[in-house]
Amino acid sequence: MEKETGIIKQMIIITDGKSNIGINPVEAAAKAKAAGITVSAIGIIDNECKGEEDIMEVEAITKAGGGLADYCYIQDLGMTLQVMTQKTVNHTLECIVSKQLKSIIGKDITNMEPQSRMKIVEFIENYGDRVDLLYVILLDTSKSMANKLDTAKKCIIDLMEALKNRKGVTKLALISYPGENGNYINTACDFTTDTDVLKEGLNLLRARGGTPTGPAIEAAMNLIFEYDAPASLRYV
Amino acid sequence: MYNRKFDTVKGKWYKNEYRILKLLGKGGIGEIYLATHEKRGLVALKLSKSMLSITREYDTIKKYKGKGFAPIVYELDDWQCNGETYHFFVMEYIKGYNLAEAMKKHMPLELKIRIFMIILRIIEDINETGLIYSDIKHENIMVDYNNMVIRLVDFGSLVPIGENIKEYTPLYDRCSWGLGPRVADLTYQVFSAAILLMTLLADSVSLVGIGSISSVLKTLEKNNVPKSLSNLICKALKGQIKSCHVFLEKLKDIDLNEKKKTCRLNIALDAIIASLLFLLVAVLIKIRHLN
Repeated sequence: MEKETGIIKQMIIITDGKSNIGINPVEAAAKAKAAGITVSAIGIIDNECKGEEDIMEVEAITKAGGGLADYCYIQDLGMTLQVMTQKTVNHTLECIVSKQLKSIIGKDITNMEPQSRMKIVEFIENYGDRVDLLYVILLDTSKSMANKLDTAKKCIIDLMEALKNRKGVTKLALISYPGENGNYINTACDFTTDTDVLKEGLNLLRARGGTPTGPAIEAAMNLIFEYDAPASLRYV
Repeated sequence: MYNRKFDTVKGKWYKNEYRILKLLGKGGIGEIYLATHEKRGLVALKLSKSMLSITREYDTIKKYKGKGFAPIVYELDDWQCNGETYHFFVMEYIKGYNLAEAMKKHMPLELKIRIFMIILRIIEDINETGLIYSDIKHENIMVDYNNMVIRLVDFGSLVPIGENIKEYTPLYDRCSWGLGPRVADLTYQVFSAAILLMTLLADSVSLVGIGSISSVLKTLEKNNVPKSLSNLICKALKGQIKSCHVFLEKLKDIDLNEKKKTCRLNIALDAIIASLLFLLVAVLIKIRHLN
């Protein structure tokens, strides 16, 4: 089989509250989408009743970012994160394939008869496992995350291990927000395939401060640009 | 999620109408409703926004057409409602109860093993088609009341051998126990089956928590499980049993009456000791008498 080119770029926000510092996260997500990066989010539910505003924001960010939204309790974060990762990759491919189909045969997948979709579904699922992936996790480390942070760290390490079973190369980066000394964000770990490097980055994280979700999305975009630019130049 | 927002689902392509009666359950990819159709009668309808998952599951169930363990599927269609597109398939509604409900009746050991062996045979059948049923749990196993057979109801978790597991429940997941990778292979399947057996033996899902092999042994001991059976379960958890086929063969060899036999043996021993003591006393008395 010939080498597949193309790479999927995506970020997933793990948060338990509404943003309150810096630029509007919905605007930042829209910018990311325009640059070909999908923005998805997992909202962590507390026992204390969450305000509707928190959920509305997650919905608005993921809609603008072309991604998916899901909600779970902290104890289910591990599974939600893994399912979400795979779903977003397939979702992104589905959008691309659908667009391609439309330009070739004039209709997208949902306008094809359901019985005839199977071949396309198979293609998307196979390709979804083989395509290379640049993946940034944005972890909310604001004060309210204090009692959930250890679980979240474990889930991210588990995810890294699971991603190694993909046939395509997955490079994972981790941004935590807020950063230290008044910085909005902290690049806890640049793109890597090494679990130990990720662990080192995670170990240093402490929960404190506010929730600058918008600046974190921008930072994740920049991280992807920096990583991706030289590689795309090589292909030219 | 969508409950009460609508009461009729109408297919976009094949124009069939289904009246929703109630929510039967929520799976990893969507909701299952009990619905009625004017010709088909009572049916189960699985609805989701994910076109990929619904198409995939429909196709998987169709693959097992004619096998008694899978429901009959009728059709795959789209439904448009309030500007959103949903995808659904319709299948036979299985009247009965799931294994979790069946377990409340405290079945005898022999029956539990018999049911488990039937389940193992079904999984073996699925494995032979090159797929792993990763989310094998009580809620997905139905005891069909009309036909008195065991059937599976959720086929969303099936993945080809060698691929990543898509759907799982942590308790049945080898990786959550730290006992191996989350990859669809035959030993992953054996692991999840062994956990299912354990919950059956313990009469409860909640009694069995994720822990270590030694905690498993303790749970089994507490439930008076024969030693050879708990040894077999440990082997299955450790990945030392290569496939459900092997698991089944080894299960057949296990003597469930082992415990009772040792009991009988103990009674026999006690009787012998008692009679020996009696004899000794009698001899002593005799000796004293002689003196």
